[in-house]
Amino acid sequence: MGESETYDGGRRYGSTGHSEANQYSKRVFKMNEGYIITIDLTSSKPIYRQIADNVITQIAMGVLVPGDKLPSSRQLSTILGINYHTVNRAYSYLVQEGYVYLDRRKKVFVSDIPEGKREKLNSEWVGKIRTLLSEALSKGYDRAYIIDEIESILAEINLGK
Amino acid sequence: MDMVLDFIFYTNLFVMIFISAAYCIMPFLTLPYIQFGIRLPETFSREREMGRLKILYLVSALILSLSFILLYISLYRFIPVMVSIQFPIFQVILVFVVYYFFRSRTRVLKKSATQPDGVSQSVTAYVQKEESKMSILWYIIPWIELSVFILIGVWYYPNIPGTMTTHYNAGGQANGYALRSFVSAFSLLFFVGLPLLAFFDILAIMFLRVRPFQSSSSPRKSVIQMHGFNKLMIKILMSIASSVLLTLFISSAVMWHLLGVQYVFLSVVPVLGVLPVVLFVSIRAGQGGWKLYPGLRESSDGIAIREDDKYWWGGVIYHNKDDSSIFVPKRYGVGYTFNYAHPVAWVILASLLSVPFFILFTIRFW
Repeated sequence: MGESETYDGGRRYGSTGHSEANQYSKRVFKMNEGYIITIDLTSSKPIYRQIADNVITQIAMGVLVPGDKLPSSRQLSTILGINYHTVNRAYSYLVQEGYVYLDRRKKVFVSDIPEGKREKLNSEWVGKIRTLLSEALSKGYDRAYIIDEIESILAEINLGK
Repeated sequence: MDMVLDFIFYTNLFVMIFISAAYCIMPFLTLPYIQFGIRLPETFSREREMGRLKILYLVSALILSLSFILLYISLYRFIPVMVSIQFPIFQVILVFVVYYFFRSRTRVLKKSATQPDGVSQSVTAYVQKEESKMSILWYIIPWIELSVFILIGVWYYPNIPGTMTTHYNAGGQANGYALRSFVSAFSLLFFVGLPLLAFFDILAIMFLRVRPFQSSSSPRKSVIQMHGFNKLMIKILMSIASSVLLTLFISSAVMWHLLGVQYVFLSVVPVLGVLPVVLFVSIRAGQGGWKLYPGLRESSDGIAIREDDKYWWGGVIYHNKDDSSIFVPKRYGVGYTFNYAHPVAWVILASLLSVPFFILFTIRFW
């Protein structure tokens, strides 16, 4: 059976067979470009942070590029079926961290982080990494394993680009 | 009087047959992971038992509906008023009792299959980069239709008698009159048709944005199918708008004496014609459009579940304060229902309910 598939972050898409209906389905599938947001409701991590982290991951993977419009807080809250204020909080966090910005009509766009701002983010980011690496080392993981894991995560994120 | 009762009898019979058919096959139209209004894990270990339960439902619903329809036909000769007016209400109650029995059986099945570990509670949703759009033609056609009807009225206006008959009693005798004026002649088209059409357009725009069923195993497919479904529903909504306009036009034409009074019965035909279309589309598309685009394939573990049964009272009424949606897809059935926790839902419901009263009021007093 002729199968065509694209690989996207662990998910397999495509359709089986080559009938006309399937070709049409495939075209529809390609037209609806987007990304998946997953929230673990049992996790101790706040929901707003999970939403924000999902968006950050999509930016890192290149699925969301500077200038892309995100759904409004109300729309996203409808899509997820999650409280509007929670989604709003996720967006304020993303704005505050500089990943997205609001235009005059309160629409949300992915921002192009300029050089100067990136330097400002830098110190904070290095601090986070320091904490993470210290955690790993104190739990007894060896150096090679940590570097290996980092490499494979980076490769996985880059797959989208 | 007999003629009116006969008319109600046949209309009811027609409606009953379609509603019975829809209820008998409903579990086969709803999503495999939402049965009798209960969400099941997408990888469900008791699938075979569920299948058997659905067949059992089909058989019992079929026997009940058929005997009910036969009873309806045979009793009509003896107690016509009661049969034609109260029987459909009995049927609705009966159907609900059967549904509720199978719903509780499904709940038992779900409890017995849920493993404590491995199933996580999660939200999985696919966000489209671009909003789905719909050809504007579908919105325009009913407006063209309304304009044509009004133009016909304007062209015929000089021939309208000075005193129009605006109301007939059940025996077909005229008992309500109005003097000819632009306001009285176009009361139905202008004061009912126009606001109704505007209201339908607003509904259509809301339908286009109804979110899909959350599926952890195929979120993208779920979105695509839901959008296909929403578009189908908008097409049906616009067809309903067209047939309502046609009905209003026929009633107006009778009032203008452009058509004889016997044609008043014609006005029900377009509305009844919608029923078979709705049934056909429901079978073809399935709940949330899960039968559309069968060639699509998207697979993932699908182990997580969004436990949202608690927001659905009886699997029928949705009440979730945390949800900004006004319309959500029906839990047991094909179509949409309100989020009754949203105040706007009540506003829309009130306006929907006011339509028949408004029509009655207009016919009565102009």
